[in-house]
Amino acid sequence: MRPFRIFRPSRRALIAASIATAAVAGLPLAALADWPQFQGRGTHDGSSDGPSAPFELAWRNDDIDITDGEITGGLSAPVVAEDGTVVVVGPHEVLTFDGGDGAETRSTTRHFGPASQPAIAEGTDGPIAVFTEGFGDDPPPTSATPSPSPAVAPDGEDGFDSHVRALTLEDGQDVWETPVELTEIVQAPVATDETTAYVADVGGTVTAIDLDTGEVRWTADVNAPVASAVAVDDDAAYVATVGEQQTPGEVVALDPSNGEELWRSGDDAVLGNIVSAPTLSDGRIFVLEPGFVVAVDPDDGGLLWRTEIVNPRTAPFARQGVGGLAPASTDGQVVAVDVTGRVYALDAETGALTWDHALNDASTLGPPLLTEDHVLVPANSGTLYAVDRASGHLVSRFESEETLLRGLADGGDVLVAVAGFEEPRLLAFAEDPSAALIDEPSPTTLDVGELLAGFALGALPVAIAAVALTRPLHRRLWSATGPTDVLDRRDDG
Amino acid sequence: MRGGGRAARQEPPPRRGLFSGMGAPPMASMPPIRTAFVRGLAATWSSPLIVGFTIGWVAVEWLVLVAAGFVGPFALLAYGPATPPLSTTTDLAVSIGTLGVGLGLPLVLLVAAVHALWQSLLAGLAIEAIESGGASRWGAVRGLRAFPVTLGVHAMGVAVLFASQIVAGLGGGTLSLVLEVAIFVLAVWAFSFAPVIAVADGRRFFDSLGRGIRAARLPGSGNLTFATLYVVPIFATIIATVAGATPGATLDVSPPYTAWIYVVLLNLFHAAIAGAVAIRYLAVADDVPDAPARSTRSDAGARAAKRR
Repeated sequence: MRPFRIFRPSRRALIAASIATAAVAGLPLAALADWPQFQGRGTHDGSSDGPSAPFELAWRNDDIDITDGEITGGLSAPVVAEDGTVVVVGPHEVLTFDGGDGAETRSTTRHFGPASQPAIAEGTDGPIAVFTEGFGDDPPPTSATPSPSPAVAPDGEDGFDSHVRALTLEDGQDVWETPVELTEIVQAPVATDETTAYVADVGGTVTAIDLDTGEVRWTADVNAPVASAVAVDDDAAYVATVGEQQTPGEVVALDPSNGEELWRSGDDAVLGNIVSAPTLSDGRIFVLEPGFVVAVDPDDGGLLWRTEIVNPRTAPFARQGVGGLAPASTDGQVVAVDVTGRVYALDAETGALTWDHALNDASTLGPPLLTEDHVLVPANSGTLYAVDRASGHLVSRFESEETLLRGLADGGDVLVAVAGFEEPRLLAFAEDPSAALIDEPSPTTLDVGELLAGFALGALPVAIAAVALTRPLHRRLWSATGPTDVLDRRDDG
Repeated sequence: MRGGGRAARQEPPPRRGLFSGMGAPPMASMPPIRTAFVRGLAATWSSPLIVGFTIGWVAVEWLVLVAAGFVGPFALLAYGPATPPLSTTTDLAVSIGTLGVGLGLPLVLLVAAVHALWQSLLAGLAIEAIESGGASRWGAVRGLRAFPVTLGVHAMGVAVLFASQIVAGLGGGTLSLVLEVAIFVLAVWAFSFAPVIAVADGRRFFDSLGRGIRAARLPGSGNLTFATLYVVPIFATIIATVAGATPGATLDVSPPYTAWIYVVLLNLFHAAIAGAVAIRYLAVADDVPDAPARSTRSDAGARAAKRR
């Protein structure tokens, strides 16, 4: 039986109310921020109704002071509350920023731990940020002075240093009486639905926590390491296990009310390690293996399709850091970006590859974001790319002048992202009405003129130069010594 | 035919360790590495046929691969005619990159066969250029004799590449890299003479391979140094290509002129090496000991009678 839920207005109702209020008041409409957790919502579909290309930089915050960013990979990907407040997790702190100008508004100490993406949810007294902390019993060496934290085990002992905490966004106070202690560290984003936070640890334990009280509703052991966010909808909580070296991963569906296992994906569904979070869209679950995009039936875990993704340079998909990887999917299209920055669009129903675009700019730290028209890809070089969802052509290339750009989040009128590791930045991109879109096909489609020009300007001159420069040398050597001087030494000897 | 059976009936030389010749004084009949390389370069690069054949092969292979669905990196074609396992990275990447892991892995020998053909034709042309001062199509036809040998060596290159990955996995960090390079050097050292022997002496696969290894082991020949000087920079360019740091290392079916310059230059470098290897073998062919005679039934019977 599902626990009693306090009535809260739905997001749709809030949006409708805001539009109505603004219309009545005659105010200009501003888009609502809509990115409270990994890939936007519990289904992790990565779709956004926020701004799209072409972009300009709306604001940036270069004044973020953290230590040990090189250990945790800098800041987590951001999440954005409905009022635009941006929340990120740093190595030793939880930071909040004003969504209007990027100014830091609060820093709250947390136990040193992986910078896993937090989630924002509705608490009894307003929005709260739920996050994980702690490196367990064997933390990496740190340069920071350990700071006191309210996170202690309920019995007053030190306990295992891995917890889940929640802070109010209004005043940064702890929401729960005590943090929820875990038995393993967490390297995956926190997921939430309206009443519950879901956390999966590296030991394979999924913990469901009541958002209001911090009580553990249930725990479930999926018997394999988990390194990605739990996906949730009304029917189930879906967990993707990594698997072992010789054992493939699995998608496991749990009953959200009690954690009871509903099904595991079939033996023919997932054949390799799963490197992404599950994404729910169009009545399907999508996950990434190192060389495949796989669609699984959410009713019973059966295989719907699996499509091989070939990249001659490397295995296409690999999880790096705690940023989290996931396919994005909406409107019958699944989009995945590989580690070399090649974007693949597949038909959600059949798995057929509809187009690909090789950006040739590594994108290893996070998933893409889908707007109505574009796939937005943050690259390690700091460039934000936009690829047309219909044609697969590149339509925008915006250079942020930073590196390691990642974690695009819909902040209403802007897209928020983080960059850098040791010297992190928070950036916001807005639509640039004065800029024009471009139209560049993928370099993986043949351009005969370019090919011939490359051959004529590269191969032919080298060939002519090689012959022209070595002919005199060859003549000299040949006439001076004859054809067999080196060959005749054996006879001389 | 060089190095035939002149020494066949002589007393077999005492058995030596694999690298026992390393400390020997330089071999008088073996051209120094620099001399061999300069002559190999002059002989191959001055031949319009060899240079034209090289850029023509690169262009045609690229068009065929693109038509088959390969999208790059173009820079992988810089290693097509190299001695395995230097060319094996290309064999595998092209095969898997075109057909996927499921089909590409078992069919890697198809791509290897194409590159084996390339290597055998180049060996024939290079030997003709060394012997007669210029290359002609007959050199290429003669090179076809080496195809079974180069094909076998390419197949062994696949095994060597996997073995190097496994051995390298046992080390860590720098050690794994050193181990991998060492295995590549040893393989090139062992394989490089075989195509030349097949063309020049008309020998079959195992005969060519065995004789090539005996030639490589000649005391004071400097063949291990030669292999090291060839493998280390080429291995570095392979790593750079995988890391995306060379021209043509991206996914692009219409490579820019810088990528063509890079790929053609490296292929011409392999041609020069093929010429140098040919010179070094032809110079010492008569000094290469024949394989020890296999024991026959009558020998075994005689030994048994002696024991009795």
